[in-house]
Parts: sequence; structure tokens; C-alpha cells
Amino acid sequence: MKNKKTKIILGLAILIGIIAIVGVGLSQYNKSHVNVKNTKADYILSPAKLISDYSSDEINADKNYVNKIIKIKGKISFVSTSNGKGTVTFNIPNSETGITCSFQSSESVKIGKLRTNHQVIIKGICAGMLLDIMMKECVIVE
Amino acid sequence: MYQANAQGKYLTKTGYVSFYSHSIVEDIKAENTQVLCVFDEETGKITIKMLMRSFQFEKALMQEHFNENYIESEKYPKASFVGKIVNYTPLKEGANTVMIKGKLKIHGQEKEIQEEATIIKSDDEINLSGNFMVNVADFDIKIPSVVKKNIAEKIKVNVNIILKPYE
Repeated sequence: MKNKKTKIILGLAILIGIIAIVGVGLSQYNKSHVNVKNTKADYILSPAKLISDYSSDEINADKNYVNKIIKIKGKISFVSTSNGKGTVTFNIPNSETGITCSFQSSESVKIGKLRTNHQVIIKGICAGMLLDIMMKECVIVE
Repeated sequence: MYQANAQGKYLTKTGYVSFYSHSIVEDIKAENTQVLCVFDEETGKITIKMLMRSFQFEKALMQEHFNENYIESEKYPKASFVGKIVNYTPLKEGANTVMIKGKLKIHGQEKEIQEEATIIKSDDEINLSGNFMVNVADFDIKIPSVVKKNIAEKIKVNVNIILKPYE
């Protein structure tokens, strides 16, 4: 009967619709953090460029850089590890402001091999500036 | 024993602060390992600054809501505490129980707080630790009624900051 068929199709459509909405909702709820390693950097900068941008206009630099993935190529000024997590700092001459990068725990072995004055490429998410510009969730780029 | 930094300043750029919200619906925890802290051993002054964007949540969606809706980190990117140890006397080696008083600023709102803390002094570092409760409403943080049951009105803040000597 046409009426019954229509009702069944309508019922199925609504059911599929509900499953789709719940599915989207669940995937949003459970969505994972950005995978820094596998995501293309929004910016590729030298330490001097990032520091200069922040030193001249912090509010504008925040607008451009906060929550973005930044690839930094530079010479390490300081490296340390605490509680299994590594930190690398970039400093430049004539600036008190540096860049401090906190690494994901997966990078700890690589961090252990780094030394002051090593040239390195790191990728991470900019969180803003305190004394230094803070980069989080960082990884070493091969 | 020769003390290289007797009565000097201590600093860290990677201090630890976390907060925890317990509710019937869910427990939410966030951790910040990029906390800036300066301690002046001469005066007992303590300054703590942190970026809201440095707080890591397990769920990316909660982190997004925290930054975009609750804390509005685009408008208020930082939280700070500026204060000092009450009735400060020189710290002894080992554990010291102290009262810390000062201004806590979150979401553009400032509030005077006084909380107990522990300072462990050793040869080459100062460890500042403690925990206290924060009323979400005191800082004008608005939780939408839809998620009111998910987020506690009082959030537990935990501080564990290790500082090194700094000139």
C-alpha cells in the first residue's frame, strides 16, 4: 500500500537523519587535538622574525600567531628536560625576549640529543607571550 | 656552605598549574606547563603569569569552549597573581608552610586572595606548591545554562612550581 510504504520510507529517513546528527555530534565531542606533526605549518619563521613581530606589536602578533602552527628554523640557545618533557629556548642578540618551546613527550628522545648551538627546525603551536614567546605541543622536524 | 644565590631572585618559565572541575555529569581537568613565576627571596614577593592558551584539556572541544566562550582568551589572554608571603621571614632549608596574599586576575577581573602554600627550599631550587578553590562567578565567567551541570561553580586550582636561581 502506497501509504504504508511512504510511512516506512519517512521513518527510515528520519532514523538516518537522527543517526547522522548524533554521529556528527559525537565526532565533534570526541574530536582530537590538532596533530602538529602531520599538519602543514601556517608560518615558517626565523626566531628573529617572530621575536621582532611580538616586540613591536604584541596584540597584532597574537592575532596572527596565537593558535597557529609555526615552523621555526634556528640555533638553540638552551635545551633542558624535566619530568620527561623537553624544552628548547631560542634567543637572539639584543633582545630580552626569546622563544620557549615545550615539546610533546614523544619527542623526549630527540630532545635528549640536542645541544646548545645546534641548528634545528621545530614545529609547534603559538600560545602567546609572557617573558618569552611560548610555543606548545612542539615536535622536531627531520 | 657557599650559597651562590643567597637572598636572590628565582625564576621559571615552565611552572605547572592545573585546575579541576568536578560535577555529576563530568570531571574536567586542564594543565598548564608554561607558567612564568618569579620569587624574590629577599622580600617574599611572588609573581605568577600564565597564558590561557597554554592550558591543555583532554578534549579538544572543551579546550575550544574554554578559550572561546568561558575565558574569552582573545580578550583576556593571560591570568596573573601578584602578591607576597605574609609576615615574611627568611626561608629555612626544607619545607616552609606560608600564607600568601595578593591579587589574582582572571578574565579581566581582579580579586584579593590569601591562601596557604608550601615552599621547599633546597640548595639549587625553590618549590612552590599549594591548592585552592576559585569561584567561577567571582571572575565574571559565564557558563551557559546548557552546560551548567557539566562545570563546577568552584574550581580546584593546583600549583606546583619549581624555580631556579636567576640574576
